[in-house]
Amino acid sequence: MKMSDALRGAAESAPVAELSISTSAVRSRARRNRLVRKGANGLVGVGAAALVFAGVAGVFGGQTALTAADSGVGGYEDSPGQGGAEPGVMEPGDVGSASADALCGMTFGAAQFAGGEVAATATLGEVASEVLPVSVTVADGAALASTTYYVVWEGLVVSTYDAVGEQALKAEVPLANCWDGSALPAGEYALVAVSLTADEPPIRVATGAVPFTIEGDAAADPFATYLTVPEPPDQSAASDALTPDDARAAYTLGLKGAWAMAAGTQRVLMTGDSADPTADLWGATYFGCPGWPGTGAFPATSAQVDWLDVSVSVPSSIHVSYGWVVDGNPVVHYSVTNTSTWSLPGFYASNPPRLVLVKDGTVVAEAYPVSTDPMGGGIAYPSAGAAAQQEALAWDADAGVLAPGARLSGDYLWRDLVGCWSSSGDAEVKAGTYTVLSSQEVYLGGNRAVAYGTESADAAPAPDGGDYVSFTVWTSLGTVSVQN
Amino acid sequence: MAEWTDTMERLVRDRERALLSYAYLVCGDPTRAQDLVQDALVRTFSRERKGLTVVTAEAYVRRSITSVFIDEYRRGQRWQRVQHLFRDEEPTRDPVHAIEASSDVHAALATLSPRERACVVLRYFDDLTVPQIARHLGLAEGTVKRYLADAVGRLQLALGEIEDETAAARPSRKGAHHEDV
Repeated sequence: MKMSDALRGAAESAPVAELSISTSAVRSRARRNRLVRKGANGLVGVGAAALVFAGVAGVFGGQTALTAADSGVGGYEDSPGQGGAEPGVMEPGDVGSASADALCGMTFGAAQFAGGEVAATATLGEVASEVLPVSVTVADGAALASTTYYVVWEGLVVSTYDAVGEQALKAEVPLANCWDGSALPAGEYALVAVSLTADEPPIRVATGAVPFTIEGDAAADPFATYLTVPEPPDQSAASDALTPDDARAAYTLGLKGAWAMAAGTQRVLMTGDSADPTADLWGATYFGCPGWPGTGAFPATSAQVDWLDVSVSVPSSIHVSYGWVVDGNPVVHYSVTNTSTWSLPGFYASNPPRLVLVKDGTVVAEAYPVSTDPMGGGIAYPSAGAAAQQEALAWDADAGVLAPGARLSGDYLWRDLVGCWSSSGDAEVKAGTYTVLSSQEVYLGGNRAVAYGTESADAAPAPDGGDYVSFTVWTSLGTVSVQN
Repeated sequence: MAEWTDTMERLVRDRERALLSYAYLVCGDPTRAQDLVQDALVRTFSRERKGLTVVTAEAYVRRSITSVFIDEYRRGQRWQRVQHLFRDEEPTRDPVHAIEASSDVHAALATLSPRERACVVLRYFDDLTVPQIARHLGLAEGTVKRYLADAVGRLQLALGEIEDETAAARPSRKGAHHEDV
C-alpha cells in the first residue's frame, strides 16, 4: 500500500459532507485581529485594546464589565480555545462610556445588546446633510442620563456620538467616521443607541440595530484606509539572512575535533544538507538517546561557529521521582541571542527549550520544560540592554526570524525528566551528576511555495532551488545533580 | 469587499470540502476539523499577505491547520500529563484491537498520537521533507524521524507494508523497539 494514496483516499471519505465554514465568522475575527495588530506591533496593539477594556470596565458595577486581566488577550494574534473575549470585541460593559471613540473599528456584538435591560426602540428619520435624526423611546418611560449612538458597518463600529440631556432621547447624529471625522460614505449601515438611565445605579438601555442607507455609489471597502494595517517588512527576505552557502562555509571553517562538553562551550553539528547525496547526514550526526543510528557518543567532528548565545538557568539539583521533578518545579530562564551578523530564521516563540542529560558522553534523559506562559510565547527584544528590553517587540510567530543582536527568551517550568527509552519503556534516571546540554535547531533555505488543488497539483518551483542546510547548536550548561 | 475577504470567500467556496477533509485527516474528528479550518482561516487572513491568491492561501491554511492542531495539543499537554492521577482506572490502549475492529486508514490513524499523526499527514499527504516538517512543527529533525518511524510501524500493523516509506522516514535502529510515545 502506498501511504500517500491511502491518505488521499481517507481524505476523500472523510465524514465532512454535513459541515460548513462560516465565512462571516472568519471575516469578523480576521478583521478584528487586523485591527488589533494596528500600531507598531501586535503586542502594543493588544495591550492598547486591553487598556481600553480596563478603562471602561466597572461602568455597570461588574455586571458585564471586562477587565484587562480577564480579557484573555495575549501576545498572539489568535488564541482559539482560550477563555475570555477575543481582542477587539466590544463587550456590553464597554459601552456607554466616555471612551466610545476608542471603540472605533471594533466589532459590535449586536446580538448581545438587543433589547438591553430595559426595552427601547430607535426611530430613524431621513438622512440629510450628513446627519441622521434619531429618536429613542424607552418602554417604561425611564429618564435617560446619556446615550451613545453607534453607527455600525458590516459589524464594525465606524461612528459614535455621545449625547446627554434631551439629546439622549432625540438627537441629530452626525454621520462622520470616528477616525478622522470624514463624512460616512455611501453604503448600508445600522444604528444602535445605548443609554444609561438616571437611576442610581444606572440601568443600561439598548435598542436593537436599525438599518439605514446612505445613498450613492458604495465603495468596495470604504474603510480600508482605517482598517488595513501597513505590513512590516518581510524579514525572511532580509538582505542579511544567512544563506545555506554562507552557513556551510562558516561551518567548514569552524570544524574542530572532540568536544569535552565543558560548561559554557558550544558545538554545532550539520544535521542535514540538500547537497548530501546520501541524505543520511542526520544519522551520522545524531546525538540523542541510544538506539538510533550512530554510536551514542557525540560525533568526533563538530564546529565552533558564533551564531547563537544560548543561556539556560539550570538548577544545581533536582529531585526526580517516577520521571517527575518533585519538591518544586524549578523555573528555567531560557534565552537565545543571535550573536552573528546574519538574520536567522526558524526561531519561534512556541518552541520550548530541549535539554538532554549526559553521562559518560552518552545521553541518558531528555527534558522539555513547559512555558509559564499559557500560550507558550516568548518575547524577542530588539537588542541587548535593559533600556531596549523595555521596548519589547511582540514575537512575530509567522516570520520567526531572529535579527542580529535580537534575543528570544522565556521562563519555563522544569516538570519532568524522561529517561531514554528501551524495549522495556523509559529508563529510570538514577541519582548522580549529569552534564546538561541544550540543543537548538537552525534550518536555512528550503523555502518553497506549495500549490494545492487539481488544477495545480505540483509544487511551485522553489525560489532557492530547494537548497537547504540544517544544524543543531549544542550548548553545555554545566551539571545538575539528580536526586531520587 | 476587500481583496482579502474576496480571496477568503472564494477559497471557502471552492475548497471547503478539501480543507475540511484535510483537517479531518489531521485530527480525526469532524467537529474539531470544522474548528481547525475556521481557526486556520482566521490565522491566515489576520494579517496582510501581499499577492495572496486562492491557491497560495490554501497552502497557508493547510499549514495553519497542522500548526493550530499542534498548538492545541501543546496547550493540552500540561493537563494530559497529570490527568491520569485523577482517573479511577487507567484506560487501556490497545492499538491492535482497535485496528482489528475497523481495519482501515481512519482506524489506523486513530492509534497515533497527535504529533505522530501530524507528521504522517505532512510527510505522506503533503510530501514535505523531514527538515520541513521539523521546522513547521517546531521539533528537532530527529524527533520528527522518531515520530514517523513509530507511526509507520504502528500503521503497518493495520495496513501492511507501506511502499512509499523512505529511508529518512524509517531510520535503522539498533535493536531498540518500543510501542509507546
